[in-house]
Amino acid sequence: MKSEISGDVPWVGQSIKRKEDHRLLIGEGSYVADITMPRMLHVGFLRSPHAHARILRIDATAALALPGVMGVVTGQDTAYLGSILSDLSVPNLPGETKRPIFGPLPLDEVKYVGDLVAAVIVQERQALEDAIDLIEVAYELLPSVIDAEAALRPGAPLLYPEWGDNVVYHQRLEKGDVDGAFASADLVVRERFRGHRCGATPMEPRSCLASFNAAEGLVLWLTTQRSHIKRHLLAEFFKMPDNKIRVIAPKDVGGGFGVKAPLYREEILVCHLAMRFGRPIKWIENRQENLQNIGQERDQIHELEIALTREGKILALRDRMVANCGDARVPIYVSFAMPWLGMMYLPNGYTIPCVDIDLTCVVTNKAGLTPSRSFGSFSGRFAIDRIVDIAARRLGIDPLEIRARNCIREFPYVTATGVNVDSGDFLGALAKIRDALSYEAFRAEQALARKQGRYLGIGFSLGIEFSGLSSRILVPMERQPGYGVATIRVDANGQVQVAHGDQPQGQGHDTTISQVVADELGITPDDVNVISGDTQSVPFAAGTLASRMGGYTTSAVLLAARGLKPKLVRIAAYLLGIEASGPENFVFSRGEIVWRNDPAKHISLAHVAETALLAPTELPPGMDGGLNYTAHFEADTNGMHSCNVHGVIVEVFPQSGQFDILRYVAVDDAGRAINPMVVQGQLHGGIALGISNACFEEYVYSESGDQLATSLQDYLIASARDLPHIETVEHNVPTPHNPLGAKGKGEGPTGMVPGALGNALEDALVPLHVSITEMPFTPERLWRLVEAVRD
Amino acid sequence: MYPKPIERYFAPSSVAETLALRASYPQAVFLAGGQSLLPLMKARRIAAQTLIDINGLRELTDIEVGTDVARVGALVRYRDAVEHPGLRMQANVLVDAALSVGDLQVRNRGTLVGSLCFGDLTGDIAPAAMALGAHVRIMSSTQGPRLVPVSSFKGEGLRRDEIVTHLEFRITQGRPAGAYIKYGRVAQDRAIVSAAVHLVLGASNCIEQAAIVIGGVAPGPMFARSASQELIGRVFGTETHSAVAAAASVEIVTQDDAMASAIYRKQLIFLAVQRALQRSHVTRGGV
Amino acid sequence: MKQDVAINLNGEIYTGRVELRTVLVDFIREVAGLTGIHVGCGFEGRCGSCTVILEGVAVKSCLMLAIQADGAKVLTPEGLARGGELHPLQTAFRDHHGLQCGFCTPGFLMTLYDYVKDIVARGEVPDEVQIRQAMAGVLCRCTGYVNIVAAVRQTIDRLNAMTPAERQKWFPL
Repeated sequence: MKSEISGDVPWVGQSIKRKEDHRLLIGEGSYVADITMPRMLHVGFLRSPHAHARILRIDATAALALPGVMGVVTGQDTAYLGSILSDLSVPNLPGETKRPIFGPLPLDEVKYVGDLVAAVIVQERQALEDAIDLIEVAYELLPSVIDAEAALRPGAPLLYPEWGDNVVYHQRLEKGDVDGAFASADLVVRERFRGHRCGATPMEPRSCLASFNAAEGLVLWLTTQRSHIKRHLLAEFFKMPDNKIRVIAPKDVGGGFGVKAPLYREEILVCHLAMRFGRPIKWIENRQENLQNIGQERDQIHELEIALTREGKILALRDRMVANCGDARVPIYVSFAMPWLGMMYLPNGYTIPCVDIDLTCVVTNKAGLTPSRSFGSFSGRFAIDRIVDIAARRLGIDPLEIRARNCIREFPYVTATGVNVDSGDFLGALAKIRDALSYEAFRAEQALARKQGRYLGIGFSLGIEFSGLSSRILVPMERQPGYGVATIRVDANGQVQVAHGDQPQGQGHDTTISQVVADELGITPDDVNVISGDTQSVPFAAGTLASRMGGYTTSAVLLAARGLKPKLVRIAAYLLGIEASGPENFVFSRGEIVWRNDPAKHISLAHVAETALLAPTELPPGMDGGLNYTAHFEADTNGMHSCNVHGVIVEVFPQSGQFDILRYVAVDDAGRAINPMVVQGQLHGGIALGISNACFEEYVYSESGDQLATSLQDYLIASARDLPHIETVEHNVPTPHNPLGAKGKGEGPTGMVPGALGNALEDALVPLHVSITEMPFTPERLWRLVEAVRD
Repeated sequence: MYPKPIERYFAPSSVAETLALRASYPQAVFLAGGQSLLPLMKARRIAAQTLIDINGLRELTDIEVGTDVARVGALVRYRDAVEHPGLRMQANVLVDAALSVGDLQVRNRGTLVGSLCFGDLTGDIAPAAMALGAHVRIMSSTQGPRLVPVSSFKGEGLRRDEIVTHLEFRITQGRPAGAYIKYGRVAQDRAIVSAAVHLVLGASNCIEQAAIVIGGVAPGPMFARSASQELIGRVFGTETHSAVAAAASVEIVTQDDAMASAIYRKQLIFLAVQRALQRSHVTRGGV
Repeated sequence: MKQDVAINLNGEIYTGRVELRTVLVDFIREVAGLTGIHVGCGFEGRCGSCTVILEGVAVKSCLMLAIQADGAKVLTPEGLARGGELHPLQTAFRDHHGLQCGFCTPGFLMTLYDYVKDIVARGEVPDEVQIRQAMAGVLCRCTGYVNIVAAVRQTIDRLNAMTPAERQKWFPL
């Protein structure tokens, strides 16, 4: 902590420029694709052209005859490895869970277009498709099912016949007297919402490079968010000791957003192949594979109803929620963890005392769902924000007012689904959005515009965003820890190294962690070297997920730095010849440790460090050498959350269905922003993803299961020209549950978009009586809605 | 994602040399801007065992705007076309179309003639060229040059010793006006529907020639004949855009596909023609 | 079929014997070892992360064969800084937090190199729509583009404040 003596401006809270930027700007980022090793081979995959088929025969003779082809590996060759999913990699949730049995390569059946069939190993990567094209496969086509509701009907084709149905997970979550609430309600609003299949695919596709040798064992360079967890799972799968495996997320991972959290079959296979061939094996996914196989999420149907009083107070919620999980062969998440969390967050930031949510997670012949920013809640947040607006309109209550009447006001608050919301201020945020968008003036402008035949609209969304998940949730759920952890080491020259458990994919962790350490130890962020991603060097942790950095990991970093201080000041006092005393008697400032009682008595951190490391005989008697400290941080609550409100103004052109987003404003709670510029960047990016998902992106499947959006020509990621300017307004409410009061940021902004945007579109089209219940918000969809009402 | 193996690559520096090569290798594929060809090669839908790279043909990099004919060489990039004031004055529809293609990088490298050669029904240059009544000028080693209307030309229609050297259109007396409007889902998208309008005005602003061509429809860009006909004889500025646009929408047959439905395309045709006519007013060339 | 290719990358000649089908981005990354540009898509050439400056203009290096650039001068992000000083674009990106994971950043730097060089030469001051239009050929998943627009504005302002000679230094190609 800074004292009044030093007068230093704290680093925490400053928008300092990022340390990461320099290398990235001069072309010296290091991503997995940039790494080469001697004798390296390349692997590519033959993938299924069919949605559901039995593999009768694979003939790789012609492929193997091609020069430079080192091998073709099929399910027959990998069957002995066994099944991937275990207790460690299947979520353990209340409700009924089924476990798909599968190995790295299918032995007999392919279950979606894009499914793995065979691995081809070559010397020159350009030859991969030459070889793949020559492999002949005989398939027996099987009936397929694409639609989730169709998959639930009796007689539907089964993906896993041993299950007897297509349900991978089911839970009914009930709390309170829901029937009674509905019976006594003044208004019941019922609506069916459809969230389409889209997700957060990052710009860097999956990449990995595995090698196995006598010196190091298995070493896997991997674009991942969770090095330690993957190492642990690989150890279990290959029946190897953990300490003979090293997983390294390189310094630069090109975006993750949840998509790089699961352990994928391909990644397991690449490790296997490295061991089988005794040479490093590199796999770089191309965009077609990437779009076909990962990043597909959302894809939920909500038949939602809420019961309200005539004053607009929500009494209860009922939802029949159906999630289309694809083939669900996604280790760690099994594609149902996301819908489950979506269910938990369905009430969102609204105080709804009674709930009855029935969640069915269905398997179909589509790619399995993989986590994507917003993690299962994108569709549900759309639904709840929309139904609140629909209710408001029917009751004649203003949309901001109905939110003020139903938002969480007293904290902490536990939702009917069991989510603990520790701190926040929705009322204040609502006031800020009203102000930022000049709400009353807008309504006047809107009325005038309507007379002129122009369709302006405004819409809002309200939401909570988690800051990490505590061990109390993660341990029972996944047998994984929720703690943040950091190990700090001081070098002999007084610079610092911090190793932490959450590797970054662009979020600026290096910079924000450096700011925290710099404040604690009175140094500059440039004096701090942050290490992450390499299981050899960083303490065990669950990895980057659920926006845990801001709340959990930075807290661990801070505690680790503080943990060093007693020893540092004891050494300082000893070398200064003053009575030993605690850290509260010293100020750390500008590289010096200064005695409060007499600032003339000070000693540099470098001097203390040099003594501790190089000259332990000069330390206080009985004191060991070295300057390291490891701290774990676990919040004393199940959930730290931020409370946010977004608002959008649109103009719709009913003749074409096109619309412009005139303003997008996010009122955001970061608790305490360690680096406000970084927080803002997370908001921009999260919201941009939300808009792109809501408006342009869809993983389209034909009725027979062909994937129609397997290139960026068809899976339309928004460019700068397609997106609006995004404004952000701070409304920070520190959490009382960690030392800095900081909250995580990243996952939340995306899920706020579809409700706000959908509400704005419907508001614009009020004179045309259009109801927005489906995404994506394509011009054709809007035009058809207008035309349908006209007819 | 990697092309099939290429056995031979040539980079001739004259049209004559190019024709000789093509005659020797009838299956050879021409490579100009590559913005359409490279993706097809990388998707392995085209196997170019022999590639003739014509980027070195300096004689095809010019835009000539004369008194009665204009020629755009086969190696003219979109960027060059957009920056040519003479071309904009005579053929704003073509310049508008070039501006709407892809993105900055694609426009730096891609060529207008290349777009025509791919016969892609959603390409932007074909409708604009058709609205101009343009032809492709084809040279051969054995015969004199021939002109083929863009409306009936497809890239594979070249004989074994031929190459397209220019896009060519007549410049008539009278003042040109025109525009190209494209509806796509995102900025880089191909056209769901587009409208190319080219008008020639005579004395007293009377519309003497009018061509409305609709792009993005199958099997290729279509003339909206009735709608175009409605414009002839009217005084420019007094024509009813919505009536003409409605006529175009009615006469063009549209299709359902992954991008849009047939019925929505009809609506977009109406809007695109309307906007193209409005824009023609703004950008008309001549005196 | 393989052929020798020599390309001038950032002022240095790199040579290699490559298959005719080798695309330019793979030559730059794997033969020359300059991994500053990236490959983010498949056959479609839509992501823009591979953009380089060739013959003075921004092109997608995944949509050209390496052999086509034989003897040509190419500029990549590694060649933007001059005399140890960052290019105004690079500085602006850092000042405005115009990058997060960095994967698409090379695509923006090289596309905008072309764009701002051209804009400043014409003496134009683009509005937000025009800047976003110029950026449409590079896709980003992290930043939402807002800060990149700000970085472009700062770059144009800074270049406009320079003398032509100073400006010239930043645009060797």
